[in-house]
Amino acid sequence: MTDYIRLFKRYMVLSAMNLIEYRVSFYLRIVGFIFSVFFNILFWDVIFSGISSFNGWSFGDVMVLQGMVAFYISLFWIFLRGSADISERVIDGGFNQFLARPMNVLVSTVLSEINLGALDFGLTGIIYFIVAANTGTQIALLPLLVSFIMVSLAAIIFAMIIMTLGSLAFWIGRFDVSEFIHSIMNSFFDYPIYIYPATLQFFLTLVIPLGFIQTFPTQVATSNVALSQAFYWILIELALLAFWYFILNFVFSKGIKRYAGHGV
Amino acid sequence: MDAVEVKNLKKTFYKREPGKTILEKVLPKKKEVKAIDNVSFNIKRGEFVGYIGQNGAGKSTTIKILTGIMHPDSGSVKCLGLVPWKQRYEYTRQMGAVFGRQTLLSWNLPVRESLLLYRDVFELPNEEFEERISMFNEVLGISDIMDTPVRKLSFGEEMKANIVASLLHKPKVLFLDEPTVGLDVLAKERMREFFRKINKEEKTAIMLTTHDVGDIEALCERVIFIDAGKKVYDGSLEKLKKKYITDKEVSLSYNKIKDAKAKDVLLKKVKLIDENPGIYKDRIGHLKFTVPSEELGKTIDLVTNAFTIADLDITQPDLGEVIQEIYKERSK
Repeated sequence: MTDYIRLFKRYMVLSAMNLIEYRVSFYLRIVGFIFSVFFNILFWDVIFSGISSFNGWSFGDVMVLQGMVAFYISLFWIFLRGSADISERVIDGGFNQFLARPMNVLVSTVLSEINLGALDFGLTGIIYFIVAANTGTQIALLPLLVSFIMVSLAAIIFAMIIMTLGSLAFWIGRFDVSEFIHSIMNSFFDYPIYIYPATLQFFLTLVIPLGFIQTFPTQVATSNVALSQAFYWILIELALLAFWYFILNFVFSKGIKRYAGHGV
Repeated sequence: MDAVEVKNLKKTFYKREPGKTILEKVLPKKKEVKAIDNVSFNIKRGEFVGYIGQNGAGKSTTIKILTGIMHPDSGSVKCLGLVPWKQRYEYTRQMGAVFGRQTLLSWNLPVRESLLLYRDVFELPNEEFEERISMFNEVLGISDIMDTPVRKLSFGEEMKANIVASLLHKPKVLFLDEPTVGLDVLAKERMREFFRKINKEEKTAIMLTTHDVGDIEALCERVIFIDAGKKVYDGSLEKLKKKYITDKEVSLSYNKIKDAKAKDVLLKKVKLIDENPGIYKDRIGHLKFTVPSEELGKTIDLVTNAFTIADLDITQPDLGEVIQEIYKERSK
């Protein structure tokens, strides 16, 4: 069995070296993100200057929610970005280098795209949390850690959904699923899912795990729900994870038999 | 047990054919293309085999199946006793593959970092890794490029590094797909020397796919010739040449015609390729012709009777011409 921990460390080192190589561009991006965060905070500040709460959510809650989204984006783009490459690799033969070596194709596809450059998203998340804490929102350490676990599990579920849909490229050709789904999610990222009708809430929880990415972790981190509720949500996430793991492996193992390895 | 055992291998692709009507464009018809059609062969341990054919003949498809990248439609394949696509993990630990047009290296990072990655992939102990690196350095001279980012390497240097990455784990069977493509003459020769060494010293079975007949002639004792997915020849390179090379090519420069009649007899007897005035002052003419091998002796007698020879060169067509001859024969 391949030692994936060792490989993970090696890819982290490679990514860190890449980051150092392009550090100026990394710093410039951080500056850009700080501006973007500043204007986003300003936007919400203006909104909340006219209302005391947004569907029961305070300014601080919304800031924590924005922080969770930033944490998710950072997590996804650092560790799971490779999940978005499945369809492209199916078409251009990008699995060849893994198939011809003792490596799990899906794990290697994800690991090989580790990109520490996306740490900047995480830094913006910290700014949101600091702003929330400064407005009096309570953020305790244990609930915050539990909420991070929830976001991490949701990111993995989401990566599995993307990889499953990307695997359809074995049958239907190129399909930029990640961009497609992320563009849909972008429209929903900024608001708690409770503002939508019940059917849409169901969709945004169990089909696209948006609720687990921002709304529920925010409620946990701000202690608006009990930790027992968090563990209940984590159980649902684990069930979703098992479901998508099974579906992904089923679809991918069928699809890889059709792989033509073009590009060699 | 042979290193590679292939029996009745078949692989078919379906190409979409763009139609003329709107319906045909929306729902294009599929055309069946037999990439590999009932191909069988074995490769022994320590053997160096050239796998040759035109573009689209089925070479890369075969290599992809033998490296575990692709699943065949039918037939059986065992490499080192393992089915490549079913026992991939166990097999790829003992198999190496070099795809000349695909890099294994991280573009922005020094070569060493990419090699360390493959050290970890193959779980090589550090001592063994360093030993291999120093061996590669002796033959390929890689010490200068180890700390250079890949993007700053020449094509030949990058190829060297790719080959090192593919052979770090001392594979028992090696597949080379166009390994010298784009290399200059010296780099090619160095690479060929390296493959010879690996083949002889480590008893690595090597299957080489290339369009470079020089590689085949320099390295392979045996060739498998594939055309339109079918195996058309499997045997020694010498036999292949004997089968298809029936003529010798004679090129001569002369500074005097001794006997005009003998010259006429000669020209009637041979297949003239070229006749022109000599390029040097003392050489008044130049002739180039082919003649059946068995008549070479008599022909040379005629040449010496007809001319005062300044220079004489007798060659036989190279493998490239043999290959062209095979294609011509098959297209008939």
